[in-house]
Parts: sequence; C-alpha cells; structure tokens
Amino acid sequence: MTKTVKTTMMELLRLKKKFKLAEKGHKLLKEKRDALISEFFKLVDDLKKLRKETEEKLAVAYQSLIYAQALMGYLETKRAADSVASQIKIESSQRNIMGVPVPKFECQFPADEMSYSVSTSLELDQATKNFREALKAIVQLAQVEASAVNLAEDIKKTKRKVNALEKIVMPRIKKDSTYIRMRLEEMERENFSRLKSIKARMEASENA
Amino acid sequence: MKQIAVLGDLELVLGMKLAGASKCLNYQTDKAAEQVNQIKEFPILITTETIAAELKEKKLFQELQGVVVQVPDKSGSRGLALKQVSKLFEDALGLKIENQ
Repeated sequence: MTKTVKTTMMELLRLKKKFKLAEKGHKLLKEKRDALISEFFKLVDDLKKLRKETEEKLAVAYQSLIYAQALMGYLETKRAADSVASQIKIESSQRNIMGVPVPKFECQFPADEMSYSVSTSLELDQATKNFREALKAIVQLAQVEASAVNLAEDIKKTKRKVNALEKIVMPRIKKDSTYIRMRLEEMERENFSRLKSIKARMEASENA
Repeated sequence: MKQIAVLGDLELVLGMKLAGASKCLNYQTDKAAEQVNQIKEFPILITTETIAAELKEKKLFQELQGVVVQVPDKSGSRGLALKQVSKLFEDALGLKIENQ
C-alpha cells in the first residue's frame, strides 16, 4: 500500500483512538457472532424436527385424499374442494433475534366445521382434517425456515465484518502507528545530533 | 389480506383447497411465468420439491418474495429440503453436519 501517512504526533494520537475503537467493535461483533451461531443451532434443530413432522403429516393427508378420491371419484372431490371457502387467517409480523428481523406467522383456523355438505364421504372429512393439520405444520415450518435463512445471512455478514476488522483494519492501524513512532524518534535523533554539531561549531568559533 | 398460496400438483392443490388455502394453482410448465407472477406477493407459498426445482431452473424462483416452503409430493420426500438445510448450515458456519 502506497498511502502516505502524516508523521505527526496528532496523527499518532488519532490512530491510537481509532485502534481502540476498532478493538471494541471487534469484540462486540465477535460476541454477536457467537450468540447468533448458538441461536442458529437451536433453530436448525427445530427446523429438522418440524420438517420431519410436516412430511409425516402430509404423507398421511395424501393417503386419506387418495382414499376419498377412490371412493367419490376425482370430479366429485374437486367439486367439494372448490366449494370450500378459504377462512384461514394468517397474521404475519416481525420478531427480533439479536437484531435480526425474522418473520412470524400465526394462523387461525375457523372452527372444525366442513363447509361443503352434500354427497361427500367420511373419507373426505378425514382428508380435510389431515390437510388442515399439515397446513398448520407447514405454516410453522415456514416461520422457522425463514428465520434460519435470515440468521444464516446475518451470520455470514457478521463473520465478514469480524474478519475484516481482525485481518485488515487493525493490522493496518498498527503498522501505521509504528511507522509514525519510528519516524518521530528518528526525527528526534536527527535534531539531537544537529544541535550537538552546532554546539561544537559555536565552541570552536569562541575558542578561536 | 393476502395469505397462503399453493403452487402444486393435482393432489397438493386439491388437499390444500380442502384445508382452505386462499389461492391454489395447478402448476403448468408452459404457464410458469404467468403463475409465478400471480402469486409472488403472498407471504407464504407452498410448493412441491419437484416444482421448486423446475422454477429454479427457469430462474423464476428468485421472483417469489414470500417464504417458500417446499413439501414432498404424493410420492414421498426426495430429501431435497433437508439437503437445503445442511447447505444453509455449511454456508453460514463453514462446516458440514451429518444428517441423522
């Protein structure tokens, strides 16, 4: 790097202050990173559990739907499905994990009544119930998954910041301030020897 | 208010309709762009692993703004979703985890 550094005491003091700030920031960011990572671990555990649960529920739901179709025929099932009015309410809001915004969903189902009525079978009711269960699990899953993605992104960012401070900013400041200190000392020595030589010359002219 | 959208195969759409999801579309390969356009603003989108993979191939996946949940279709899970989790993990921490 060929940036020129001012070799003054003021600059040295400024750099020292900067270094302290960088150190503080580094420490804080490091703590944030560690906290985020532990949070992330928890989320991933949850995520895996939920994923498994959802898949199981969905498999059951598919099974019951296939039964219902076998009993009633595709068209009949489709007609029943088309007549279902959507009544799910989803409230989406935001939550904070260590300063990372993550979405939060809450879903409310209407009471357990089927909104289709005529010429349907018990199997269809069962399928509806199973799919509702699955949908609930999916909404949960959506929340956790989105949180995990957001957290992962933020961990990456924080990591990069920590590394930049540690590997680039702090060493550079250190290098610069050593350079200034050496330079100042050198100037002082120069000055000292200059004074000595002047003194010697003055004494010589006095003696003459 | 916009709610849950479903982009899936016949069975998923039928089931989700029964459960009461608000917007259900049968995925059609030749109308993919149009369909994505219709649902891209929903907060939650449910789709199957197969369709998600196809959307990614067509570069439509990024247009979805909500949370996309990939679920297995009727033939069972292909394990893609779990793979995604461990990829996320790898990206964030730089180490691999074994899937139990």
